[in-house]
Amino acid sequence: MPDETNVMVVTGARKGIGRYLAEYYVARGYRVAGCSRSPSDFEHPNYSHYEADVCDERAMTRFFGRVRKDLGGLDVLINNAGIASMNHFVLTPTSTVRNIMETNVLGTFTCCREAVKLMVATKRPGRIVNMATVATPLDLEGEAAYAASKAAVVSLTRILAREVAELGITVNAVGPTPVETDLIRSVSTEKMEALLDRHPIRRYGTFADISNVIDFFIRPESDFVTAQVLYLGGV
Amino acid sequence: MDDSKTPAAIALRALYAAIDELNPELATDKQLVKDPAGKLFGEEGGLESIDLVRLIVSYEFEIADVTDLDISISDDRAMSDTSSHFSTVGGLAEYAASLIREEQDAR
Repeated sequence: MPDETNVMVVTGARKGIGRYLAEYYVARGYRVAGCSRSPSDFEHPNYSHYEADVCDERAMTRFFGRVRKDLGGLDVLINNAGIASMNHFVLTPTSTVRNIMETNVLGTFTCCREAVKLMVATKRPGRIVNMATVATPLDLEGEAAYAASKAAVVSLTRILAREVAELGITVNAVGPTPVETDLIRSVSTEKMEALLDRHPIRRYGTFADISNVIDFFIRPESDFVTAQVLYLGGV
Repeated sequence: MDDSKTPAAIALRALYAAIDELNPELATDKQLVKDPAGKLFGEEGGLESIDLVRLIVSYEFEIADVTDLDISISDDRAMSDTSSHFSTVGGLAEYAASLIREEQDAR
């Protein structure tokens, strides 16, 4: 269990996996600061929600500044905020690709940068967990922009891990299989079934599958585990 | 405005405070000098890149504590060009002062 002073940031915390992670880690004793573009209705003495878009660099700098002032530092960052689009690439507007890259890649980059500053300042061993996806190693048709954005997140994860190792900070990523959230709601059942057929373990992922991996990455004993990407479902 | 409260003065004072915080962690021959002409980073010596990161982090928080402004000091040329804002104490303070002005104007 974490120390009562342990602070975690979860991006994209209003709904879906982010909301689950915020509730899960509050229940495990963390003081959690969540952010999203819209307000959250999750209320708990150890949860603070901030309206901030990960694509907005200035807003993110202010958000992490608030975390420092309100919570005194940062131990764990979970870069959960992300968007996806399933479409043939010929039919995909460039604006959609830009939105995906800004949220998934630039948002992750900015949050990692600002989080590391807080972790350095408080001189506590920091943990960063990014979100990858099985769409990248599976080369999923129809997910070119999303998979490419997450390939960039994998590369970021591995390189940042090297750059901050000397600071006592680990950077890892979890690559979930499809979980039944808004992210895949627009995808047909047939396509999802075909996708699951490509997984060694043929089922949807669950929120608990994801938190299980995050639990491993952030535990104190995992200070020798960094630059790793753990894909779920046997992918 | 009182000269001591200008962005330039605040930026330089905050940088000196950050230097005071970092120096105890640096080797004797790597100590930073609290002088605008003092060398920070570049080909002719100065900080290791990881210590420059530590200095910048401490510097940003010093500025935040004094001004209540959250600025992010980053520069494409930070690690690759001796003419970057990060090469001297005075250059970095001037750059930070410009960011403070920008943030003040944005509010």
